[in-house]
Amino acid sequence: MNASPSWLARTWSLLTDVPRRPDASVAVRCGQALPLLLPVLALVALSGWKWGVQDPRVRAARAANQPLLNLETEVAALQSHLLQAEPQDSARAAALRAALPRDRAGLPSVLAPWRDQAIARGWEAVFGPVADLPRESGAPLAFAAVGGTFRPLSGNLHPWSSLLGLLGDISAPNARIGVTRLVIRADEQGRYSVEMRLDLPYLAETPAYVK
Amino acid sequence: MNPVLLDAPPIPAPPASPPAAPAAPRAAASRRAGTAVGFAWLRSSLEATAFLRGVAGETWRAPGPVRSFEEFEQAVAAALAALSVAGGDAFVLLEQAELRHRTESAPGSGKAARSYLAARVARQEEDGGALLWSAQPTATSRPDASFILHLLPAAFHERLARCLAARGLRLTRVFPLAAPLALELADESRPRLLAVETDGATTVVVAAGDRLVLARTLEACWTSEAVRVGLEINRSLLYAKQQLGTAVHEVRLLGAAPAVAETRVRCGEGREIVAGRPRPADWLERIAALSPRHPGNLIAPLLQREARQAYLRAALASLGWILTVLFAGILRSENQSAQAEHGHFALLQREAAALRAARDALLAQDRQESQDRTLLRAATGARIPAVPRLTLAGTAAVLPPEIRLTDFRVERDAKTAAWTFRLSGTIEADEDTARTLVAGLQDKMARDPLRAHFAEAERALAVLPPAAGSGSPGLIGFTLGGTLP
Repeated sequence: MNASPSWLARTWSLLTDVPRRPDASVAVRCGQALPLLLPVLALVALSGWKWGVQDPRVRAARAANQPLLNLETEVAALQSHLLQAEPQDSARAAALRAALPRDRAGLPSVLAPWRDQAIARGWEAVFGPVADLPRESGAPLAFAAVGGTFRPLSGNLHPWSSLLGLLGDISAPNARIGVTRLVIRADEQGRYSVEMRLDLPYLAETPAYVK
Repeated sequence: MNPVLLDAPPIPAPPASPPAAPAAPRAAASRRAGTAVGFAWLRSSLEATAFLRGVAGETWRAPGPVRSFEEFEQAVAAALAALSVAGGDAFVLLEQAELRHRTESAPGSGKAARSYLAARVARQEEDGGALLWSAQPTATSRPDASFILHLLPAAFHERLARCLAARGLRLTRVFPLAAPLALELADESRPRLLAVETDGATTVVVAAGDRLVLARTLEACWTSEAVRVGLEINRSLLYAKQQLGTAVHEVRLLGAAPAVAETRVRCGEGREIVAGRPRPADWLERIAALSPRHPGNLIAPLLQREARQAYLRAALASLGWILTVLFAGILRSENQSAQAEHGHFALLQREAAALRAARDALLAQDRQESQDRTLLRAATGARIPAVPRLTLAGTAAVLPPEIRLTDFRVERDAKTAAWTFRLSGTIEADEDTARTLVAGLQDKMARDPLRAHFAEAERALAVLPPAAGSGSPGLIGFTLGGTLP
């Protein structure tokens, strides 16, 4: 604590001492200190303006507009996120939605063309009732299983190769049909009896634009 | 004995005193022009010489005694008027009772000796107040360095400086009388003694060239105490002989012509005794040639301290202004940013509704994108490979003509997603051939592309009874089963 007065005295001396005039008046000493005090006063004034006026004003404006800033940030983030999305995904998804039945009730209409296709291949197709398969909650697709019995038409001279062709049609990727069971029986006369179980997808979601 | 100036009562000003109104601009102009005034204030006598760029000009001598500061101030005013000097630098050659001289021995040299002397001065200051001091090294026969300390009370200097400042003069040098006397003795290398009488006091200096031996001031003069002065001069000569190792052969008495005979009687054996008049103007000229930083200048440390302080003040002020300017620049930049931000806020407020609508549209689009991705992922993940078709085609490709399939089954377990298969058929051959054919079929189906894995438990080979009335040999029935990748 002894150093404090000495330090203060030295500072006071540095600030106010007038050379060769130890008895200088207070006014003269203040005049002497002015060149040093002026920048200090200017710094104090600027600091006061910054921390007393400017910064609180900026903080208040930011706080008042924070919801709008958050909104702007959210919009920018969404735009950036959507820019990174694959543009063809949307088209592929739209095509998929257009191709799939909207619900389970639409499945028979999916099967009808296959009946014609089977006939074209020389087979008669008979589809059984539609049975729901277990589905995950929230999954966009649901599946239903359909049993089908196929018999060669009387004029079908190449049942084996036509069956392979029909199976190829049904199993093609764009058919969106999963064959999960195939049973082929041939009797002693060489007549074929074919059973298939087909898993058919349909839409389980409600599109966002519908909401 | 002279009165001590610091305690002397003020005396009335002489009627012819010039006005004491210095013109600071003129003083500054004089300083810039290199004008300086030297004052030789030796006890009660005062002599002033004007110097222009170091060249001595006119000299003015005070008509009466100058014993007090008031008289000094008036004399200075008169001198300036007589010399036509408006201001500038001033230096003083001083010989007063307040200016004391001491011989000090200091251990070591350089800084150590100076620190020692400073400590000695500090002890003196404890008794009599702040002192200004300078030290002249002297020749000595002792191992320690020896110095003559000149000590001047700081209060005396302050009054002196104030008197001069009142006349627009800036005091830059204060030298004791011994300084120019030592310089005069340095002109010749042989040992000499110089004694100067100044109004009741006698200053004695002995030197051999630039080797100063002693410098002292006796409070006595020839006219009143000739015997004592003679004795002291004799003692000084003996001391000088002791320090120099050789006798001093020349004694010069300035301002004491009548005492030559007395001095010759007392200490003139084999010595040249010369009389002369004091020449303050010459001494002032010698002093004028010395730098204010000369170690003999009593106020040199004060000037250095003032210069350091002025430098520090200027540096601090510069630093303060630099910081202020930098800070102001930062604040200006921040203010511009704040204004830009304010404008941005205003824009946001104006377009808040549009932003919300855009956000909602983007959110809907994002939800749609997310659903699209989920749907595509689900569609891709849920795609069931065409294992039945591939197995059927693969089996048909490797099936030997001797084997006739009667039952072909491929199934997928919904829980485990594993594929199993089962084949049944007949072979029209003997049992060994049938076994070989089945083994061959198994081997081919186990390879690419089917890579079927057969379960031994499901493998069966049996001889079937021939159909009644067919007449054909018996058939071998077989069953194979397993899993598919």
